[in-house]
Amino acid sequence: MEAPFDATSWDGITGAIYAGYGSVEGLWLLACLVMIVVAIVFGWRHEEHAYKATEKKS
Amino acid sequence: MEQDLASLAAAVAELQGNHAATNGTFSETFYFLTIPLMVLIHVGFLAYEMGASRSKNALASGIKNILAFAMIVPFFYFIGWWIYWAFPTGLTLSEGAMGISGLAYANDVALPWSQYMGPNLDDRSSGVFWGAFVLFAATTASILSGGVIERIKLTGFVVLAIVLGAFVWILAAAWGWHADGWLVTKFGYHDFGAAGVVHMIAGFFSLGVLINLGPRIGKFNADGTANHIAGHSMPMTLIGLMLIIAGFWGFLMGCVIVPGEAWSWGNEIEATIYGTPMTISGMTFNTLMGFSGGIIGAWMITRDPFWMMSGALGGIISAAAGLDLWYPPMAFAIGFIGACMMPFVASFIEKRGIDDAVGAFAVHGFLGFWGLLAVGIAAQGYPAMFGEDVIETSFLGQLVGAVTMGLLGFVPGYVVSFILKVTGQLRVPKEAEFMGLDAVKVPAQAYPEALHPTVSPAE
Repeated sequence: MEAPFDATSWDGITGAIYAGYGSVEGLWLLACLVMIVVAIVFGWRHEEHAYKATEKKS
Repeated sequence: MEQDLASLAAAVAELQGNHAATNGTFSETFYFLTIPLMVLIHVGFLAYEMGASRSKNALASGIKNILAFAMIVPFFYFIGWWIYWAFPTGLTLSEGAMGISGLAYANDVALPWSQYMGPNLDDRSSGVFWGAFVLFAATTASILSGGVIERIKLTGFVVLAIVLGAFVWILAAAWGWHADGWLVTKFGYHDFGAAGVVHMIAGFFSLGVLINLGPRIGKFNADGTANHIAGHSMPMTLIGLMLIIAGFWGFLMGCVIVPGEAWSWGNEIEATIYGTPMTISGMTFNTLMGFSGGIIGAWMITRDPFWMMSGALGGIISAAAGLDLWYPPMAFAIGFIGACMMPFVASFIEKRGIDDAVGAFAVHGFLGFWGLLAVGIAAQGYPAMFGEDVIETSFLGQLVGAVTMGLLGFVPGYVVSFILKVTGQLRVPKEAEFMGLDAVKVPAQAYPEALHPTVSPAE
């Protein structure tokens, strides 16, 4: 999780420059996916609780 | 003399470098600007949907629309972009004649851990192209979102939006909106402005979902006749529709390949995504003429401002597949005819017991279909792609494309929504529908001081 090149100047740097290039992409992709799935599960639970509460009221 | 030549060569090299930098920045900026313009489509859909909902559902409709956009972005990064480059030749993952498709190519340029899928000093195009395609994807989800308002579960909708935006439409784009697409290379399919790959796909997907979702409570009477369920703000809906039109200009910019880059089709003139020459200027004639024909046709048939603005959208969609080719009065006529048919299609769907709250199928599904056929009727015989002795546009090619788009949209929409239905994840309970979805699950109020009815009559 650092610069993909070892340099003290931008001179001569080409290609991919994003942090972690060639090393930790899989980790961050997995983290993104987990966050989305967790958000959807929480959203789903909130909806189900809200609907059940409405059914009880009526 | 030698010194003069050397300095001349140095000056030329410097000029070439400057020209390349300027052209590269122009190209990058061109596609970058399509994105905020296309965001206007989503501003429009947001206002349109909220206005078309009753006030008790306004915010729930808004949340659904916003979340669809947000969910599609990461999934299009994970898989959608890869699908576009992997599947043009069908489902075999083989490379096409242009050499810009197939498994190896897709793995190189579009896997989410590829060097091109993030900041790269040697690549000034991937991010902006990807961004433009994400906005196309989000448009498909917004089309679905409008039709299903006021009774769909949010999480069920999110699943449908991801399937449509990150899988289904982009497979259609690979087949019919890519120079190696099998519909293009084998049938001469021509769909410059995405009438089929965006609008038809989204419209038919929506139809499949609507069949399983069922109508809103109160939409139909016991004898099968339909009631009109008015939204709470027609002005908001109309402004939303006009914003969608504004965003359409960005959408159409995103359909153009600019010249002068290594990935361009040439150095002299703009091209379609198929590599056929076109001009933004010509597209402008036809977009405005289609827009105008759509409004006037819908006004003639309905006198209703909702359908007039839907007609504006429908006029452009009707002309979209051939916006690079029409004689402008032809674009007007095609838009006019499409918009005249549109309300009858909406009525036909309604009589079948399907509650399409905003006419998504009529406007996008049917008029996308009409737009594809219009190219087959009135713009036959054009070389369909880049190169020598290539296949030509034809009615048969457009028909095959239209049938493919219809099936590719409808079947996944029906199947996925059926699975959600049988697992209880598609539709909200009737108590929640009666109460209004905002009160049930939204921690905010659209109109906290209430809607004030008009004061007492003047008399």
